[in-house]
Amino acid sequence: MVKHGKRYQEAVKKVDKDTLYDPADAIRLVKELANAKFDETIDLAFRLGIDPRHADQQVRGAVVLPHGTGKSQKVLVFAKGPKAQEAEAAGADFVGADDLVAQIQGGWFGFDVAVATPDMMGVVGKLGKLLGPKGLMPNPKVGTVTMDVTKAINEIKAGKVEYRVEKTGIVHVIIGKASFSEDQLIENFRTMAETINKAKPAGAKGQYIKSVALSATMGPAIRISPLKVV
Amino acid sequence: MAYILEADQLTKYFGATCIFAQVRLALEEGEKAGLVGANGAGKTTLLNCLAGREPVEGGLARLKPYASIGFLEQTLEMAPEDTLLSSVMAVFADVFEQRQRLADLEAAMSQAQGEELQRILARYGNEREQYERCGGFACESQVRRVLIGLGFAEEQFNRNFSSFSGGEKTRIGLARILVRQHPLLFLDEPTNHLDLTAVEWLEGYLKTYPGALLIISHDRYFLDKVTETTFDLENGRLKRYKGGYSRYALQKEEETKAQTRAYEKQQKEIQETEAYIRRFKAGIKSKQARGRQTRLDRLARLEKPGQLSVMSMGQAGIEGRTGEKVLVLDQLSYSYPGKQLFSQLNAEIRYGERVALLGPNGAGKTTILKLILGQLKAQTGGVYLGSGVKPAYFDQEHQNLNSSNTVFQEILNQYDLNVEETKGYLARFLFTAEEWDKEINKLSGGEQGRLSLLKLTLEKGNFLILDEPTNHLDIQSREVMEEYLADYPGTLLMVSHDRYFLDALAERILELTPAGLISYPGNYSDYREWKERKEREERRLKEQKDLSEQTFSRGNKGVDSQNPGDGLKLEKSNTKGNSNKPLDRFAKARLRQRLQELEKEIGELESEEAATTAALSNPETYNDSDANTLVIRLNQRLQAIHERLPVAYQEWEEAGSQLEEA
Repeated sequence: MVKHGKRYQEAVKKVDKDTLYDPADAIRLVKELANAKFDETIDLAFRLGIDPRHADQQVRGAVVLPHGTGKSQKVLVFAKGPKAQEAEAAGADFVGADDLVAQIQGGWFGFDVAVATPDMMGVVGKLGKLLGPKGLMPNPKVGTVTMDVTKAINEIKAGKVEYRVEKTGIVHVIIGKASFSEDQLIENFRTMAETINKAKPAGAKGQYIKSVALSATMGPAIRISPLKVV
Repeated sequence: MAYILEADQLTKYFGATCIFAQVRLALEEGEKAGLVGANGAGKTTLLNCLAGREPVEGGLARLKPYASIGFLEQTLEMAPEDTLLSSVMAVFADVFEQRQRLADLEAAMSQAQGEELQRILARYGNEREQYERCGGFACESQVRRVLIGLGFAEEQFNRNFSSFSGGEKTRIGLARILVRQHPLLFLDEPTNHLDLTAVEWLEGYLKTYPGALLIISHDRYFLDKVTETTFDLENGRLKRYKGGYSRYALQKEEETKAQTRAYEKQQKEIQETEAYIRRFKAGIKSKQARGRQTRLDRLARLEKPGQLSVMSMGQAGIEGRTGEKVLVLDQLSYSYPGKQLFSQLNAEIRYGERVALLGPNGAGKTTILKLILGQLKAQTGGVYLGSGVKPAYFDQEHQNLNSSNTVFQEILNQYDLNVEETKGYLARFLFTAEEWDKEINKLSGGEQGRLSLLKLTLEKGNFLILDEPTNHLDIQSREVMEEYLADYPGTLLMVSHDRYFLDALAERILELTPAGLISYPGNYSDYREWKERKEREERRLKEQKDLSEQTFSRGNKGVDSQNPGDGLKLEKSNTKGNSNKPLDRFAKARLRQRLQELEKEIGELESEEAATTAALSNPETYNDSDANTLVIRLNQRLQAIHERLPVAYQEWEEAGSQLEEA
C-alpha cells in the first residue's frame, strides 16, 4: 500500500469522493489542491465504453490545445534538402537524416516528438524497434509523417497533444499546468473533451464516456460528471 | 457472460470410424475447463477440430470475432536448424509479414507523390495501427522476457532446439503460446515432461491467466487446481460437468450407477413384456399382446453403461538371464557445445535392480539413457553393458515408431509374428480392428505410448530402459503398466516425474546432481525423506559451527584485554555447557530473543514468498515495460527465500527445543 504524505492527505479531505463535479468546479478545486513545490501538471483521464482489442473500437489521434500544455517539446525532424531547411526555419530542435539515424541507433533519445517527411520513411523504418516501443515512431495518423513540416512543428510547439486509448479502455492526456488560469484550463478541457467525443469509434456500443477524472501531479483525483463533459 | 467458443453438432470420422458425433461445446470467456477421456477417445482430434486444424464431417465451431487460440501440442516439432529463440519467434510470423509490408510501404512512400502518396500514407497508418496492436514493436523483447521468466538463460537462446530435453521443449511450447497472450488456450497434456517445480509454476500461471483454457490432462491434481469445468469425451459423446476432476469423477460415478439401475430396470421390463407376448400371442389376449409388441418396438432402448476397456500387457517375459553386472558407467562425461551436461559419472547397476534416475529438466537424464543405448557417444569415460544384456528402450518422444507405417505393419514387420498373433497383441493393447490400418502419425499421444509399450514387451529385453513411460497414458493404463513392471524379472532403469509410479516400482534412486550421481537404496518417498533429513542435519551442523564461532567472538569482546585467555576459557566452558549444563539466564534471554526474531523473519519470508509467487504467476508481470529485469529480480528473490526459509525453520525448531530443555 502506498503511503501518502500529510499534504496529500489534507488534499483528499477536500475532495468528496461520492460527488461527480461540474468541470468548472473540478478545475477550480484541482488548482487549489495543486500546492506542491513545483508547477504541477493537470492530467485528464477518460474511461471509455469500448473494447480496444477490437480493430473497430480504437480511439487515437492528436489535437492542438488552445493554450498548449505548458511543456516545451523538443522536435526532431527527419528531412533532406529544402525540407530540412524548412524544418530548421520552423524551429525544429534537431534536423537531419542518416546522421540522426546513426545517433539514435547509438542510444540517443534527447527529443519528445519525431517528425519525418514521407521520402525519409525508408530510412526511419529501420528505427522501428528503437522508436516504436517508446511511442516516438512517426505516424501519418497523428500527423508526424507529412510533407508540411512547418505546420507539424508549429502545432507540436503550440501544444499538440497525442491521445490514444490504452488496453484497459482509458485515455490519459495532459491539459495544462497548475499555473494556467482557470479559463485557460477550461478551454483546454472543452477542446479535449470535444475531440474525444468526436473520436467515438463506429464499433462502440452503449455509454461511450463512462467516467472522467481530473488530477494534478501530486493531488487526488476529482471525478467529473460525464454528462456535463460535452 | 459471453461465449468465446461455441461448437454445435460437431462430427468427425476417420474413414468409417466415428471419432465423435454431434458434439456441442460452449466455453465462456475466462472459463478454465478440462477435457478428459480414455486414450484414443479423440480428445486431441476434438481440440484440432475446434481450432480449425482438422476438417469435420459435420457441424460448426465458432470463435468469437477477434479472438485467437494458442495451442500447446503434446510434442513440438521444429526444423533441425531452429534455435530456442527462432522457434519462439516463429509464432510472430504474421507480425513479421506485417513488418515487411510496412517496410515496403515506407519504401514506396519515398517515391510517391500527390494522391498516390496520400493513398499510401492512409494504408500505412492503418497497417501501423494493426501492427502496434499485435505488439509488433515489442515482440523481440517480449520473447526474451517470457523465456527468462520460464527459466531459460540468455546463453541458451542460440542453442539448437533439438538439444533441449523433453521438459525444456514443453517449456518452449509454453513460451510460444504465452508470448501472444491469446484469449483462448488449448493445452494438450501440458504437464508431460515437466518436473515438479515447473508443474507448480504452470498451475499458478494458468490459475491467474485472464483468458479461457481447455486442457487435456491425465494429471488429476493439476486439473483439480486449475479447472472449474470438466468435459468428458466418451464413446464419441461429450458431456459437461461442473467442477474440477474430483467433482467430475464423483458425478460420473453416481451417473454410471443411476444409468446401470435404469438399464437393468428397463431390461427387466423388456423381459417381462416379451414373456407376456410369447404367452398370449395366440390366445384371447392376442390383441393386448400385439399392443405390447408395438409398445416394445417403439421403446427407446437404453444403452448399457460402458465398461472401460483396460489394456492387458500379459506376462512379463525376458530372453536369457544377464550376468550379475548389468551396467557400469565409468567416469562418464558429456557436453553440448557451450554446456557441460555432466562429468565423471560413476554408477553400477546389478541384475534384478529397479533403478529410478532422477534430476531436474535438462540435467541430462535422457542423454545418459541414449549413451547407454549407444545412440550418443561419450566424450570421455565409458558405458559398459554386462554379458548377455539385451536392452529394450521406451522413448518418451516415440522416435522408435516409424510414423509412415500403419499400426498393423509396425508390429507385423518388425517381429517374428504371424497375422493372428499380431491381431491378438494389438487387441490386448486396445487397438480395435478399425485402428489397425491407421497411420502412426495419426495416433494420439496415448495410443503411440501404448504401441511403444507393446513393442517394448515384444522386444523381450532383459534390461528395460524407460524414459517417461507414463506420459500420455490414462490412469487405467498406468496401473496396468505398473503391475506388468512389478512382475518383470529383469533389470529396470527408469526416468519419470510421476511420483506414484516411482514409489510403486523403484527400489533404488540415482539422482543426477551437479556433483555427480547420488545413489540411495529405497523408493522415491524414502529418498525424499532421507534427503530432507540429510539437509537438516547439515544445516544443524553448520548452525552449531556458526553459533560456536559467534559465542567465541562475543566471549572475546567481553573479556579484559589484559587477560585474553579468559575469553577462550569462557567459550570452552560455554560450549561444554551447551550439552551438559543448563543455560544461564543471559543465554536463555538471548535464545528467547532469537526465537522472536526468527518467528518474525519466518512470517515475513512466508508472506514475501506468497507475494513473489503470485507476481510470477501473474501474466501482467510479463507485460510490464520493465518486465525483463523485474522477472529476473523476482526469480532471484524467490530462490533466496527458498534457500533461507528451510534454514530459518530449522533454526527456530532448534532454538525452541533448546529453550524447552533449559
